[in-house]
Amino acid sequence: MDRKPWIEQIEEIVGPDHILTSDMDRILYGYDASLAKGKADAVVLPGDTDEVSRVMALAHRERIPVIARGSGTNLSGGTVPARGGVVIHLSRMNRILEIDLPNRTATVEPGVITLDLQNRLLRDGFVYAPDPASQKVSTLGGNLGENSGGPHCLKYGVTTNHVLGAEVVLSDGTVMWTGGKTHDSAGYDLTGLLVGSEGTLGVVTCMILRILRAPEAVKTMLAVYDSIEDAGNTVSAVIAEGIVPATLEMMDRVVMQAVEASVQAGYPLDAAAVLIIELDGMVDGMERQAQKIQAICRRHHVREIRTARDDAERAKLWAGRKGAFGAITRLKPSYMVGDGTVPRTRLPGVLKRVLETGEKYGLLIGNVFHAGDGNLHPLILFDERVEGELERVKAASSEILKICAEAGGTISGEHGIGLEKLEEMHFVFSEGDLAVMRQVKKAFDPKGLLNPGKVVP
Amino acid sequence: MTSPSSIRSSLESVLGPEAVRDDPETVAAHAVDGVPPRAVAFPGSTNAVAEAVRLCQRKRLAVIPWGSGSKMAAGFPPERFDLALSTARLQRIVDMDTANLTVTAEAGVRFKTVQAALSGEENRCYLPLEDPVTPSQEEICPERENRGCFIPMSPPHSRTATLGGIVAANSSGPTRLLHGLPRDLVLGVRYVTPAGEVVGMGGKTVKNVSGYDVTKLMIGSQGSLGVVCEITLRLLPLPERTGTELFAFDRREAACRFVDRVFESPLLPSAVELLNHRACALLGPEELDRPAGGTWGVALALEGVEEAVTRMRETFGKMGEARRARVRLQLEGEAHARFWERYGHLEETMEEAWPNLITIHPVYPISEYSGMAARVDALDAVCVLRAGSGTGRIHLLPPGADPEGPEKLLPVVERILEACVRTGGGLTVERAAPAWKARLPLWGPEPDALALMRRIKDQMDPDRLFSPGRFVGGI
Amino acid sequence: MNIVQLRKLSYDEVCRCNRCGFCLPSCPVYAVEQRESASPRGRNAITRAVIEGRVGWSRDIERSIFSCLGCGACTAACFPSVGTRDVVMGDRACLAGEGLQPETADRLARSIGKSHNISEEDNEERGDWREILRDVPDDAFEKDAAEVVYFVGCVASFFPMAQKIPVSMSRIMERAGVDFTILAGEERCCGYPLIGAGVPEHVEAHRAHNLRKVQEVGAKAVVFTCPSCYHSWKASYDAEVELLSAPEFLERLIQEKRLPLKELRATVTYHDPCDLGRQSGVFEPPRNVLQAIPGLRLKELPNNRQMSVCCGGGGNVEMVNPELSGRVAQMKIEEIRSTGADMVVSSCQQCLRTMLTRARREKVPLVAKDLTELVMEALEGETS
Ligand SMILES: Cc1cc2nc3c(=O)[nH]c(=O)nc-3n(C[C@H](O)[C@H](O)[C@H](O)COP(=O)(O)OP(=O)(O)OC[C@H]3O[C@@H](n4cnc5c(N)ncnc54)[C@H](O)[C@@H]3O)c2cc1C
Repeated sequence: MDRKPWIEQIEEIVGPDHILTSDMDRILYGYDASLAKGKADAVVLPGDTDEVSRVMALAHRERIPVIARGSGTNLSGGTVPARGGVVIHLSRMNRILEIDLPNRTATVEPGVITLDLQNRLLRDGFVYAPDPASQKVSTLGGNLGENSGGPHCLKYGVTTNHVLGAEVVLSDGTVMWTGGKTHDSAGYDLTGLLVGSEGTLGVVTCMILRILRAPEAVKTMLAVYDSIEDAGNTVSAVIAEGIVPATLEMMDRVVMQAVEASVQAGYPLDAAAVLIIELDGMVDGMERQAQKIQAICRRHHVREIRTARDDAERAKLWAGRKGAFGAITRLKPSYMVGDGTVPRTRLPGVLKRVLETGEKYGLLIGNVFHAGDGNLHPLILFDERVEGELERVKAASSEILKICAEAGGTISGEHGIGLEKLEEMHFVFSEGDLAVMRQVKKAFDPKGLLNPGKVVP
Repeated sequence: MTSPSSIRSSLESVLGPEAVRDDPETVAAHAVDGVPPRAVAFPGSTNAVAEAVRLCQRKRLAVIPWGSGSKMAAGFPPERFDLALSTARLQRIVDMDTANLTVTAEAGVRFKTVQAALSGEENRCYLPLEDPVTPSQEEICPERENRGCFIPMSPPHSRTATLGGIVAANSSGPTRLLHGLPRDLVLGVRYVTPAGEVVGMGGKTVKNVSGYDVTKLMIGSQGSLGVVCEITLRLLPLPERTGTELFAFDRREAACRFVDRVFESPLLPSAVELLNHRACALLGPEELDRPAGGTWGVALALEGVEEAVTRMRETFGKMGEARRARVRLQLEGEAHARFWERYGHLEETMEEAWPNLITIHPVYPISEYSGMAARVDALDAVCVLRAGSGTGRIHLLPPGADPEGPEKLLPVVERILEACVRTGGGLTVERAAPAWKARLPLWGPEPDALALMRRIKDQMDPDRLFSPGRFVGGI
Repeated sequence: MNIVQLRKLSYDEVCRCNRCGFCLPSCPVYAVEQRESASPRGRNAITRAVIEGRVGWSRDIERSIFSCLGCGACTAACFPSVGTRDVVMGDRACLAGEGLQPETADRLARSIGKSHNISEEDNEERGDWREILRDVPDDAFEKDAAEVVYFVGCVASFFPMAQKIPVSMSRIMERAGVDFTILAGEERCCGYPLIGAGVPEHVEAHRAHNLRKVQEVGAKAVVFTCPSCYHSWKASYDAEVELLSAPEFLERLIQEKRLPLKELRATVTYHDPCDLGRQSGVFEPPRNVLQAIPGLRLKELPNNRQMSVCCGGGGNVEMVNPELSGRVAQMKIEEIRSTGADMVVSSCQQCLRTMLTRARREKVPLVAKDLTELVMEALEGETS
């Protein structure tokens, strides 16, 4: 590659060790956990906000696309440099700057690993609520970029409900704060816009997060079903009973088999589906709630209910759930995961149609999902290397999103649009809706340099 | 310049005659900061709103959306004001999907109305679930006690406030401690853009990351980016048990220490409010502020399962005793509901005696509440502080007969602002007589991102037709 | 190796990597370098790209592939269990085939070929560690026939810092009355470093030689203080005798009450060597040995057993990129210090050497001992 002059200028900003331009590195920053691929022109590993700002100002002058990247675990092509450009890998900006217990906030750099913050907070009896299954590797900046959810978001809300403020670098290098340590701030809720914007509006270099006291008590149950409908109906019935548990997660047989082969979580392999139901909060009345839930499960023909006796057993149940996506390639080398979300009462019906779609296209589909939120994750299994398979998978996946949209739901609950669901945006948004989104983009990034080709078609 | 009658007639041609008024009374009733509009439109549907807005766009008419008017006192006086766009006829509850814990209603629906409807609504679901209208009607949850649901918000002015107004003003109340702000509870909005386009953002699902979260932008945008017409909100099942614990302490320090203890405990009250003596006196029950003056009250709202509420009552009772609470009152049922309704209408109870009162919404990091309490202790004000949420309301009372009265309050506001800013917060003035507004920091300190906010406004409302000049930085 | 062979060996394996990234936080090299090329996911991706012809071998790739510690933590964290370590070793063979291996790796391979050990010394000097034991003859522990062969390994034979290990081990076995022998000058490198250097095809000669020697002695078991030799024998030697790591052997001797242990008052933490723990599944024996010493308290590292973090000494990285190896060691030292233990015990000369070298360089006080050393100290009647 001919060395572009701006590369030297970036070198001056971040130092020669922190810019990568080899063919290998450009390929290595061309993927994420989705199936999309691209190639970066260069990769920068900045050490602080000032470096980010200067690199972005330079990119702005040179009209070079900029792609922010955390751990690259998003599932929608969010960090794939669709049009080349500079990837800003924020791994070095990984300091927890402050934990302010009296004000219940944590101030962090974007490269902090979600679980690292969690473990740090637990020492003081606090938690950061959003818990994506990928928390052990995902970064808080990436969580912000995707507005990530997790099992406990049923009760506690997703990332956006826990970000109070952000320092953001705009495409021209301007640095500004939105929000802050307080819960209200005057003016437009720009923090709310930034969360879930997939790096297309600005690069966040510092964030203030809301933290909560860890719940006094937790109770985790595994309910085993012989039919997937029964499991789905249980979900609705629990909520209708007036109980909003901390989690209501579901897994089907295909997924359980892959997971059990990876970690021995103790899932029954002959069952059609399991639910992981967790209650948390004040200890009072929890037992009674649990019994109510168990009664509902029984009414829906549960085969067996196990209750985790201690933290180790609970961890085991969750380990399996958290590894579900990864484990699935034990069955086939590639998978495409859907993220459609529907009103939860529509789950059993939608699920049936998802499986029918799989049959129609001759594709094996495993299901794991945040059932309480109506957030499906059908995992379509295949082998990328087989000619034509990817196209078939994309068609099936798109059809499933259509089903979700028609059921009054949406095409992405937590994984984002990225490159992979651009076309499907039309299932849920009119041209007028999209025009408004383009206005937002223009206000933040008039030249369209930030993560171009993503989110809005 | 378009004359009033031509505004009316052109609007009538798109909305019909019943939907447009420009009689003096109606116009006066829709004045903003003393500026009357030239006409008031009452479109009956979202599409009609869009028609009206498109007309304004063509004629370059300045529009201010209008709900019940309960929060119109906030913001700068409008630069221009041609049409008040009332949501009074957007009155449909579109979808009460209690099984999914969502409700969708038009912007003009009063909060109180939806809340009442929801509390009676059975959130029962039937099989097959994907098709609720099938006649088989096999209930999947036949044995549940029917308790209904609710919107977990506690906005002020709840008797009159409309959903649209609550969302546009990002209005919140005591229970935000447990349930969060409108931004945590609004799942989607349909609104009419300044260009007159009907757009929908968000949806019915709690999780949704499809595209930009424009819903967040509309929440709290104070009518500066369009007319919110339809709102989808997240619901919760009505709690098994609710109640209130009221305490009064002779000394502010004792009240604060009590509140600290509450937050140190693993218990989860839904509201923790600190009341100065004037607030105590206004809210009653009488024994709360007796002997009058100096008292600080603490009001705790409780909700949850039976056992949890019982434990909270017991524990808080003991904590109060330990801090020598002079009064402890326990409210339940009707009394509980009445107390919090009065609480949300404090401002109304003062209006008559102090028409020129200034209402401030202070913002500070949550641990600073005791400092705020110390600061307001010396003021002649009715004050409630939302201890765990870093906000509250301070109603500054101008000395009644003194015509210079309000003027004396201006430096007080400045001092409160300084105090808030020192902690990293700010304030907004929710209410002040128009005459004083120019001299008040209505939206607090200039936000760091003001330039970006302006760019958003420029993109979405380039002709500055929506509530021009009223919002932060004169947006 | 060439690309065609690599494709056969690794293509299916790397294609099962779905880029979920769960390996990233468990890779010590990624923790230090914070860039994709230093991660297992990255190494899988490189391999795949090379196989698919999207990128050619290069110096950059060489750096990435030769910075892998081969510790296997990635595979332990990987839900589909992608064997990145083996993938990397295949890549190294290919790189060597292209003449793209690092200078040091090449030197190592040539030196092992010539002298049969990793140190460039004359292999006859393998038994010189016995000089430390002043009261024994030059050919001590050498027998024509014995029940047990003690396979000392290159590092413990040649590097003064590690020679305490064979000294302790031989003493312990003597005390326990074990009928054992060492092979001295007839012991040859087990071949493991050759795989790391990208020349697995050179292993066979060493393997055959070592096996023959063990056979000649008529031993029923081979005992190893080096986990890498142990793992190498277990994984590829096809030996017909019992293979025992030192901790397993010590555990057995203690169970048979052949080692009288006195009280040692100390709190220790235990570092699982990668080749012993994750690769060979020996987790409990060393802990049982520690627990058998009266008065000793074991405080586990935050990351232990399957999750143990490499010391920085694996995969020939210590030779190829000492700076990187040292930084990984630094992380390990910090983890050890976080336990507040008086010392760290391990069962690997390489781990001890890597950690102690770094500690010395950074002037951090660190006491690190091999399990054999500690047992030796605890033996009644021994003065250490
Ligand atoms: C096995 C597995 C399980 C998963 N489980 C879940 C789950 O339960 N819930 C869930 O929501 N997701 C899940 N995900 C998806 C993914 O982990 C999340 O989207 C995660 O938040 C991404 O974090 P990251 O650090 O990898 O971000 P990246 O993938 O690096 O980036 C994600 C997006 O954020 C942008 N971005 C990154 N940093 C910044 C920044 N500083 N400023 C602005 N934009 C930025 C990027 O440009 C990109 O668009 C899972 C993924 C895998 C592989």
